[in-house]
Amino acid sequence: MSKHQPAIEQEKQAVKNDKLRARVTGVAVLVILLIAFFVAMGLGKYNVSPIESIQILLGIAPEQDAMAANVIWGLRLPRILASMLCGAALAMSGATYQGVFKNPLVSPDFLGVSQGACVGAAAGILLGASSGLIQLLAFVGGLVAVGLTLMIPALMRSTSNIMMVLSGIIVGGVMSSVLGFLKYIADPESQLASITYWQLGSFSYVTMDSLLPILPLMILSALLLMGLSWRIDIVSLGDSEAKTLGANVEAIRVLSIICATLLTACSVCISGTIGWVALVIPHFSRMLVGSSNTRLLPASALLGALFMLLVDTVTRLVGPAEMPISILTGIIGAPFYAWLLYRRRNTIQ
Amino acid sequence: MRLRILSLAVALLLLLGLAGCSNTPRPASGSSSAASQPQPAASASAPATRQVVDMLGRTVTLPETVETAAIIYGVATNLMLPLGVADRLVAINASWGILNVVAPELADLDTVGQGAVDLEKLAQMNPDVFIHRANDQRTITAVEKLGIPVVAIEPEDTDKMLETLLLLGEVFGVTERAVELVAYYNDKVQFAQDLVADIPENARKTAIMMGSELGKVAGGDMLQSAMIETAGGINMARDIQTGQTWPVAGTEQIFSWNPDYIFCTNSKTSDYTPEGLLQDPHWSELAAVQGAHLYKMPSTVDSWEFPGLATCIGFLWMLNQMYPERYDDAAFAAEVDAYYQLAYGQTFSREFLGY
Repeated sequence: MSKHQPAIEQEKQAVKNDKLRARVTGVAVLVILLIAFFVAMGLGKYNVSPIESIQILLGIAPEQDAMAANVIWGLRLPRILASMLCGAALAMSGATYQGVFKNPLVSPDFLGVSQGACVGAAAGILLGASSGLIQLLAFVGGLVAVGLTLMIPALMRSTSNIMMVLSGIIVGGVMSSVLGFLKYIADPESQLASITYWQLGSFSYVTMDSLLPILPLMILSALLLMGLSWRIDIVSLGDSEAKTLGANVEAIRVLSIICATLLTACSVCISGTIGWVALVIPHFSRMLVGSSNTRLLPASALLGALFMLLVDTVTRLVGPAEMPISILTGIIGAPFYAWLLYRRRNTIQ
Repeated sequence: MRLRILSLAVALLLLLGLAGCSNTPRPASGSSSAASQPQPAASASAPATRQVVDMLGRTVTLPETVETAAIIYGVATNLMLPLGVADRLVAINASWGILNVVAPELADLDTVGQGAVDLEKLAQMNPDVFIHRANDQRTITAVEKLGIPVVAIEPEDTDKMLETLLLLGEVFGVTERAVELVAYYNDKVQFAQDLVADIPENARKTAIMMGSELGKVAGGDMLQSAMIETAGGINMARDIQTGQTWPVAGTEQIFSWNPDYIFCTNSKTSDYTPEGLLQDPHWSELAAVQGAHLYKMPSTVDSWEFPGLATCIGFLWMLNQMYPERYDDAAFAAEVDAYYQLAYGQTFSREFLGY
């Protein structure tokens, strides 16, 4: 008994160190994020100085330039908020999926949420729906796809992870075909371009009106996930260990999936689908704060927000006209992921 | 126990999600009441304004004289050129042949996007008007929120194209010029119809127009179909009316129609060439191939079938191809000169235009 005492003390100390490091990292990222927010608010193609932009934002601008106010309040602010929110939501939901499925390769896409949302949005575009209705259809499409994915294993009375992954592939395949059909019947000059643009994601047209109704749902889902985070830790120990500890594995898994899916669906209905963020950011965060979900989820949210803000600011500033955001997240995300894998090559079997 | 509470919360959340999303305000009239919302940019000093009704039936308030305009919709440029107001453009979507020839100063003009607008850059340019296609409500709403007036146009068939010309004439204060161009166009339509009026239905030439991919055709609701009919031809694809531009009929369907004439769209991105098809053994049995009546629509300067004034030269060219005994090369060449003289104040040789 006494022989083990020092080992336990050591373990406790290590946990303490981990927590401390995570806390310091969190504060540092938060500060960087705040700075990035104000820098991004000051940058743009509209010719207004960074200082003046901040003054307009804070309502202390010496002179009234109506167009500058429109740009700062109507374009930059909603857009920057949206990019941070979506980055945070995608990264958090990616981290959750990876925890629940004990698989570092999964992202929210694999249960079909993105494909489903695309089908919903494309249907809305074809019907000539208003942008609010297109958002709603995208949201519903994403949830329906995930619902189908979760239903197949239930029907087969097998809830193993591999069954879930396979049914995700099935639903994703069906959704891609439906999307292909919708694109085929779309008018190439107007509707097809909108669908493609939507599929590649963009924050160009985000307004406060389109952002605000979705905000409460995003925040609540995120808070619920935080509440679930230590339970996800237990689930990721493995089913038998978790059951030994008295956890209701099924309930925790389904609840986490629903919350994570809601987060992704919200994000998709603001910006369209954006690749790579949900996959790469949780890995990077794990490297910084360890794999406990109580620390990983908030860290992923902060880093996701920062990453998306940076990428969107680049798309806003570079080039004669804006490009869809997934182009950049892919170009940055994929090599970054390769680098992460290289760093962790010894721990990945 | 706590897990049960969490489950309940998630169920509530799902309901909230649907309700929250469906509460999303519809983009209505463009103006907004929320305090943080932008105000129209021209509130400081009230310059003289006037109102026009665009093709969505909306009343748009414009400055007395519109001096600058931005577009990301190429058809608008094509209509502004003969109106003589293209020099007021400050941003276009892309450059193409005609600009290099008749308006070289536009060839290097800045852009504010192709499919979607770079809103902040547009705000920086702050043009007097933004002209856009009527079926892109999202862009129209977003630009209007900046305080930049948007005129929606929909020049997808002959009547609407002429209506668009008149509307743009009103927007840019060149109504007389617009009326002149529309009168010219209508005159040519009348001329063509009179010329072929006595040809009985069963003696008319059959034709189709192919899109930029093999098997895609101009359906009956497209401008290009109206051109074939005005020129006295029968568009074999006229029953295809999907509301879609260039619907896919398929090569087999084209073979079974076996039209006398096949016109190919004037596009640089086509996945076939007329020369290639004329030599393709699989196409050799087609009437259009045997008679060597398979052509790419002219011209190298401007497209004679892209929505715009040049479509009148387009259907006259078809008329010249299908019924040369009624409308010979010399008469057509004279008309081409008259058209370019009217539209751009200059003429081009047959070789240069490539017809």
